[in-house]
Amino acid sequence: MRRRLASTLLFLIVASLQAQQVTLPKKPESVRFAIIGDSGTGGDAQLRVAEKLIAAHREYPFEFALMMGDNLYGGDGPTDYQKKFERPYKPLLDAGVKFYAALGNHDDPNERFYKPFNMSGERYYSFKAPRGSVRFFALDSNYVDKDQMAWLEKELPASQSDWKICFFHHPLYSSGEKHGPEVEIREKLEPLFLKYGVDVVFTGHEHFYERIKPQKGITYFIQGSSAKLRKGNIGPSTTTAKGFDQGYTFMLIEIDKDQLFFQTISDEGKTVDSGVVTRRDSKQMTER
Amino acid sequence: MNLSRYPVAVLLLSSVAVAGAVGIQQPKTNPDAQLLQDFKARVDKYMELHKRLEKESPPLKETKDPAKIKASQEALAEKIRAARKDARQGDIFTPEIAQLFRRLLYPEVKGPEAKETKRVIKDDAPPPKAVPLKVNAEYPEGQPLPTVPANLLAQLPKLPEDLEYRVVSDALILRDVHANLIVDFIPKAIR
Repeated sequence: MRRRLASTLLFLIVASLQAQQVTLPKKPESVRFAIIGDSGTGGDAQLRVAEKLIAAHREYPFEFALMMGDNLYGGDGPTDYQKKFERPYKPLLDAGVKFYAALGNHDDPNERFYKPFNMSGERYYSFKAPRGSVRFFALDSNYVDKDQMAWLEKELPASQSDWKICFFHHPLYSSGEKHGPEVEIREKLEPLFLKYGVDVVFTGHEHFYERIKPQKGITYFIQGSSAKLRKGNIGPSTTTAKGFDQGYTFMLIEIDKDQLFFQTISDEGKTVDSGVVTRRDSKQMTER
Repeated sequence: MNLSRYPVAVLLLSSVAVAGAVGIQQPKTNPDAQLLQDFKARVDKYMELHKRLEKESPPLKETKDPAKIKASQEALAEKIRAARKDARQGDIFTPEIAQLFRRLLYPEVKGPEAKETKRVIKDDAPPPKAVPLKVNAEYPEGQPLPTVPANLLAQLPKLPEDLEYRVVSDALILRDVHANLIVDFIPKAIR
């Protein structure tokens, strides 16, 4: 009986380790990061996803993580920062992983002054990856005003990076039955993304994972289920490349030269999506 | 530039054109442009106060300690409330300015894009009456800050960095971001 129990336990441990295996290529000098979205509940689901993220970091030591907004649900007092961010991700913070946040509709814009969110006191900002030719643009999709548009119109063409990656809260494309796509924001942002060679866009807001089929050459991801889940909310759609609304998720990304590899992992440690996005040559796209 | 998408720009340009045509001695301006100038003057006056009181409050700067963010917010809010203890709805959005704003917003909430605009406003909006429509009231902690549709923002005059518009139910709110205060509001702005 004891032997059987031990072997069952061993099987479960091995299965769990196997299930969580990171399948990214782990090439030398690649840019490695993680993505979480709609994470700030402080609840059990956030903790479960955080545990898997921490386990993944041991195998795949990503240097930074992007947060898709709704970083703090409910209150935003000092204890909320502890409960909904500092405690769940403490091992990552201790290991030097930097978090870069975008603002969601549940976030007080004053979160931008919280140093561990690395927003430099700005609602929208950009930063360069620690290596490689990759620049990220964090936008505030809650408030796409003239100033932000002017900033983006200036910053995108000014960047000489091969990869221009935008991230923000509201999805421009979505098959979600609760929220759906943000068409008004799409009308403003998408022309700039196309004009200035943005290849990949990460968003949240919808409480599920969805990869959208490339739209005008841009690949869109929704990663909004790192603590909240809206089961069965992905509706029938011709734009979905892959959807997962049955569990909580986070993403791991690796960029090597002209390829962006992604792996989406559930709170049960299962890979629910993976693949590679190849960078468009923006010059070729412009000339066509 | 499609000027019909930017009514505020049209109003300001037309005021310059009219003033130019009539010469300096008879400066006549479009009444709407005058209202916008009046709005700007009221906002500027508020911001003067905001900046002065900000200097007297704990600074809001990047910090690892969220308690400092909250302390800065609360201290500024308290000072603004005290300085504007007699402030009333309509001090900034005067009835005339409010009427102009309603008119500026009208095409977006009644035109072809109305359905999408209203969907965005209602998306994850705070429950009814969760946000007190009251000058100097704190925007309640924990309540979502409804996304302002980009097409509505495009219709409205630009604000200084520390102020923002928000739509709560059918009201347009002017919110002090640093102090998390409702500075003024227009009831029934979205009809």
